[in-house]
Amino acid sequence: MDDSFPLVTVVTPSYNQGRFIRETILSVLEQDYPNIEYIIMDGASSDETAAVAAEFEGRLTFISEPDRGQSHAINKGFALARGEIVAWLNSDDVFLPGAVRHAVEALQNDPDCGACYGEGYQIDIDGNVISRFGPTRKFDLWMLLHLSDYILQQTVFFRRAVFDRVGWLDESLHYGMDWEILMRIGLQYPLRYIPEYMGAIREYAAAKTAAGGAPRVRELIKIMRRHTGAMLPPGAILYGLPTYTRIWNDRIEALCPAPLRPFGARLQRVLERLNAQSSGLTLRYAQGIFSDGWASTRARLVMQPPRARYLEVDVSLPEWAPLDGQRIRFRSAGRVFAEERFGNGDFTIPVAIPRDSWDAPFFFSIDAERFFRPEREPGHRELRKLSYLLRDVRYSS
Amino acid sequence: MSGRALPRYAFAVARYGAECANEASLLAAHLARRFQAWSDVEILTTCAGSDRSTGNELPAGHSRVDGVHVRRFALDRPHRARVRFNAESEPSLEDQEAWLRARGPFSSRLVDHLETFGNRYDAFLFVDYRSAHSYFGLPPVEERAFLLPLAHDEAQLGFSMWDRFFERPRGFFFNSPEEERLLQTRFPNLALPGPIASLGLDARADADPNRFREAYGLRHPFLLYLGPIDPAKGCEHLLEDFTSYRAAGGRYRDLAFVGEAHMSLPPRDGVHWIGGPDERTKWDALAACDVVVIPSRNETFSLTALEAWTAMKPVVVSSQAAAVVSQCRRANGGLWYADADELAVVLDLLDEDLRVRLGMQGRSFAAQAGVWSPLETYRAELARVGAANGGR
Repeated sequence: MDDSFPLVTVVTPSYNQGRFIRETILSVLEQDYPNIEYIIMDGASSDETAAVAAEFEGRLTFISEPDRGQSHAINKGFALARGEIVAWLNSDDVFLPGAVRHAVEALQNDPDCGACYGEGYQIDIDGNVISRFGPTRKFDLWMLLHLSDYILQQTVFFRRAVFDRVGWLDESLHYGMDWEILMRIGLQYPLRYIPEYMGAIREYAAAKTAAGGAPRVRELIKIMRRHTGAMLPPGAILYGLPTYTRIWNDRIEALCPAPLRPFGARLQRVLERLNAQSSGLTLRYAQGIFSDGWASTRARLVMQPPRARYLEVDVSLPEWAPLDGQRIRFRSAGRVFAEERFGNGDFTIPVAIPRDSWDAPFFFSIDAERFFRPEREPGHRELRKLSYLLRDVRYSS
Repeated sequence: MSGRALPRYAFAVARYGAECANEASLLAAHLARRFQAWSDVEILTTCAGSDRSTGNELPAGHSRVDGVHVRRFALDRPHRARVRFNAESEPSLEDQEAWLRARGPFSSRLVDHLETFGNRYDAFLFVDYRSAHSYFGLPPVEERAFLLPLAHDEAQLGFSMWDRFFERPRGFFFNSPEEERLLQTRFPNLALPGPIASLGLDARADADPNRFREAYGLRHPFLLYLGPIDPAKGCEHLLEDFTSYRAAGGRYRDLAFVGEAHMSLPPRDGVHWIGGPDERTKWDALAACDVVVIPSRNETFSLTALEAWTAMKPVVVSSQAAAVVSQCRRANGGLWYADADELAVVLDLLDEDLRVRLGMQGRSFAAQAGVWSPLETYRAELARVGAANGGR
């Protein structure tokens, strides 16, 4: 096989998912890519899994033996993998046609990135599309670490070599090992977003994501703390509130005596509304950078360990914004390391990176002195504090 | 520097902005505006707001001036220090450098920026060899540095501090053959590689002489002085010389000074003090006048002369500005004078016939100089360095 078709290894960890696994296997084997190694690491299932796998003998490797859980099974599969690109696909999920081809192209076109991911769907128990996986967005390390796992694991392909640097999946984790490994990789390598639909996650009551409850939330918060150092990362709100709202509402349902049901139902609605509002506000305001490019008075960023000694920051101030003479301060580890001032127009501003940040992921914020709240309509101002347009932040040699 | 579509160049110049009319600022502005068509240009300058300012009159930071990205750095301190030289002996290198710093305006932050971020730029253009930023800022980036010396035949050029300095730049851009000859004479052992890239100008098509004449009540043939109204530019002498000339019944009864004032403006018969012009007023004035007078004795190249010729007007220049006299010779576009008597003679020579002839010859010269041909010279030289440095 020539270099244009590098070997891709797909590992499926499986345990008693016989009713879904045929669909999963077919979604891998029917990819329009000629060089795939497929390994199923089964945890000694007692259902029809082995029989289904036997139908594809010669086209995949099926290993069935007891393991210590999903992460252990994936790690064992990756250890056997011969491919320079690897992925895992759970036994109830599927790849979409063209996924492997898109991934190989992306990794070949971007030699610096450690992994790639794309768009995906949520599907029901019968394989029907419910919706697009909504959180997916272009790679932003700060959001990945602090806020949400917006990357659909079923679309992720890794360079095998990155595991030598960041290590395998954390086998102590049960719910967030896919997020955690993406955090570790993201802290060292850029992740490449592919605007193509590549995978689907099956949503049903027994699925781990849906059934995780409070233990899942606690594990996710632990993961965020591990990589951000923040006691209460904003993602805690995003993952905690819906789960605890569900738990509280179930309790209200169970504990409310019949005469108080209307009151209980009202309380449930209030909790749901609070949850929705808080999640929305957290998503919108936590980073201080809005989807239209405006930055607030504090914009928070994280970048991989510097590959250069300075940053280039593209900012702009439109003529109509009353912010001429904006002053911004770059702050890391509690101290200001650069200060800049700019007027109306577009500017590329170079900023020297502090020496003590040269070898580690670079956490920093940009604090702006001034802001305005634009008038959305007469008499109504936006809640957002707008300070300047942040077009891009990158390392530059 | 991969990923950038355009090469990135920076001009290092002591002062820059609408209120600056010194040769270095004007040249940097003229070039930077045009470089923008094919490069990413930054002006690295100080917070000194005008030609006379000695303090941080403008805020530090990034701004756009006529669309050009300008980055200002705060001055170290108001440059009031005076370093006195003993006329009988060569000052020490330390004294010379102290003189240069004190001469100002000087920002060590600008020099720090060059040291820290030098690799960001494909090339630097240091304007004016006498600028402390050129002297202290060029060495850290000498591999990609060009010097636009703006050298005059002046005592400071003899200082020993320049001996090593003029070895450093990657290349030079000279304003005139006279400037190049002057420097080759001063530094006979140096190669001083670089082209002569005299600039041309874009003429303004909508210039209206009547608009200017009506606005300022100028009904007779008149002389025009264009630029900062400053004793250093010869304006005091011109005022006195013109007053004598007019009193003696000279042909031209009016003289309009158009520019930012840096001296007292005494009321005199026939003298019109007109403030710093916008571009339209400037070209209106050029279209309306009959002769442009350039009394400055220290120029390596006169943009004003080029502007006058572009507007088909003859110039009268100080004979002490050898490079400008040479410019006039090459253009056949003007006359020169040494003192008040010669000025009177020259002006009386300039009847309508001679004015038109000199104006047309000057225009032809300006058209040949063109705007784009010298810019192409810059572009080619800079691209050569970019390629040598591993750029595009």
